[in-house]
Amino acid sequence: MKLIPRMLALCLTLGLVLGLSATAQARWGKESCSLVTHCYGLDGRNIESYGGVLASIDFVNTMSPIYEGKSTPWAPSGGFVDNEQWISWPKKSEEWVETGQANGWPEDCCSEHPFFAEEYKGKYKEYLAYGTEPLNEYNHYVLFDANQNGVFHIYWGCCEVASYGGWPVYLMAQEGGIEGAADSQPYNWGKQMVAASDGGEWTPWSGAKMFKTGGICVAANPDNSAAGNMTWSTQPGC
Amino acid sequence: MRLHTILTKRRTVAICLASVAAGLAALSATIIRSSARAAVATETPVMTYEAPTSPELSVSNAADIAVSEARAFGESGAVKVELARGTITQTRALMEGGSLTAARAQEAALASPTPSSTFCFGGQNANCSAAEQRHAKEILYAEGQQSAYLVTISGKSFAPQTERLPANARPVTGSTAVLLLDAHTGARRGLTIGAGTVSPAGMAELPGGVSQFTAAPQASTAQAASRSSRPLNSGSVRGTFSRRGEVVVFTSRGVFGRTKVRHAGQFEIGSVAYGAYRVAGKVAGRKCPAKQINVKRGQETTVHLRC
Repeated sequence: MKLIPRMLALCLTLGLVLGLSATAQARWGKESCSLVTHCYGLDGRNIESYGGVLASIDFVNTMSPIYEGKSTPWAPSGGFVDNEQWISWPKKSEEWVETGQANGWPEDCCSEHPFFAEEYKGKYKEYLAYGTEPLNEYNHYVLFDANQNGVFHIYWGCCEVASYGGWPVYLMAQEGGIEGAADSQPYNWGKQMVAASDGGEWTPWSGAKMFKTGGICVAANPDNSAAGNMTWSTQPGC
Repeated sequence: MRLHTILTKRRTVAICLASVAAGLAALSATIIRSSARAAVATETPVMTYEAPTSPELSVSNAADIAVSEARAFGESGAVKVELARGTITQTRALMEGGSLTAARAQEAALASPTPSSTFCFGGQNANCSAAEQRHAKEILYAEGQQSAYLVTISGKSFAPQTERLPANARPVTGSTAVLLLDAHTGARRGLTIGAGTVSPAGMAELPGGVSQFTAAPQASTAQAASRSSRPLNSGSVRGTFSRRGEVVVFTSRGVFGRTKVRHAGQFEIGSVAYGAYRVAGKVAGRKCPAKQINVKRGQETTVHLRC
């Protein structure tokens, strides 16, 4: 029974990558995706009713940032594409912590630089690393309130790179996926596997729902179709 | 014999069905429980880091880039720029509202063989070996020692379009922004903007102290567009390619960008961060011989490619 949805997911993915690539002209502009209006393909959930979790875990795999000459614009017009996760608190609007990997401005079109950012009490902060993460591998990003004191530690791969404090102890919403911000159509094909944890066992993002704007195609992750795992593409026609 | 054969076949089918059902149930349970566990085998280090080899920007070059950022943030009026040079670790700590004391503590922690209790995420699915932690510390320490400019820009209103936002979130704006600029490439590594953003108090403690500049208001919208479309840490590349196809610009780490060859075999890339690159033509997926180029700030580099 599990094979059928996985096959469907595989077909969907192949459709995204192969079938739609024949479409001649991007709908990026028509779908209002731009540097000002960012476009998204996400899987996410609100877990307030469960009391939240301490850690949000995201394995991000950017499979290809370039295809037939299309890629994230690296010019100073400022285009970028992020593959990432956000944690937030629905009762605290416009506040969140995020981490993941990015290409485009201010770096180049096709290498992935890890980053983290937050908006807290009306102040936005971000840091983008000079170092890079490999393509075609699941790179590991974690946000974890390790000491249960409202300080969320940020992990890239094995280890901690920063922390943001002042937050409630348990995170109440998780989202993961792609954020595209560019005036011309970028190319990005990636996938994610996600989990939640209180420091021990890992659990899937049960109840997570996919969300997409124009310009992005989404489907279940053919590698593992557990809740929250997805694949995305910015192929023309999405 | 016939009855026995039929019974045997039925038993076999039943066992097969039971086995398949059990297998599917186990598979299903495994998929649900281990949503991300499968990826543990591909655990990667913090990141790959190679120190930049290009020369460092001067203070005035960094100030020019900061003004370009201010213009890209939509500010056309006068811009006050304060900047000081330090390491990434120092400037990042100050940018995020911390102190140089905190930066020194972080450097000491990364240099220490004893990791902090939270350094490794760990847990049952992400065991973190001592070697992994040591390697991660070395990388983070090395990147943290890279030079950077901590810059405060003050004006009437900055509205960056490059903030990384969740869906439906509004960008944060402000009249003061703190930038962290890579001292080698001029790339913006960090940004703080919004409520309560002020010039970091510890800036004056950085080696060399604080330099101040003031950029006059822009004369016209056209000038603003022109200024923001080519930052001063970039040059351009143009040239010819003997075949129809595309031209790819490579950094030492991978592809920087690519462009299609226009009619008459000409190509142009408007903005390329200064530094050394290899450029090669590509025809039907086949890469042609590459040429080395050196892009200089504010200058056009010409290259002629053949295949």
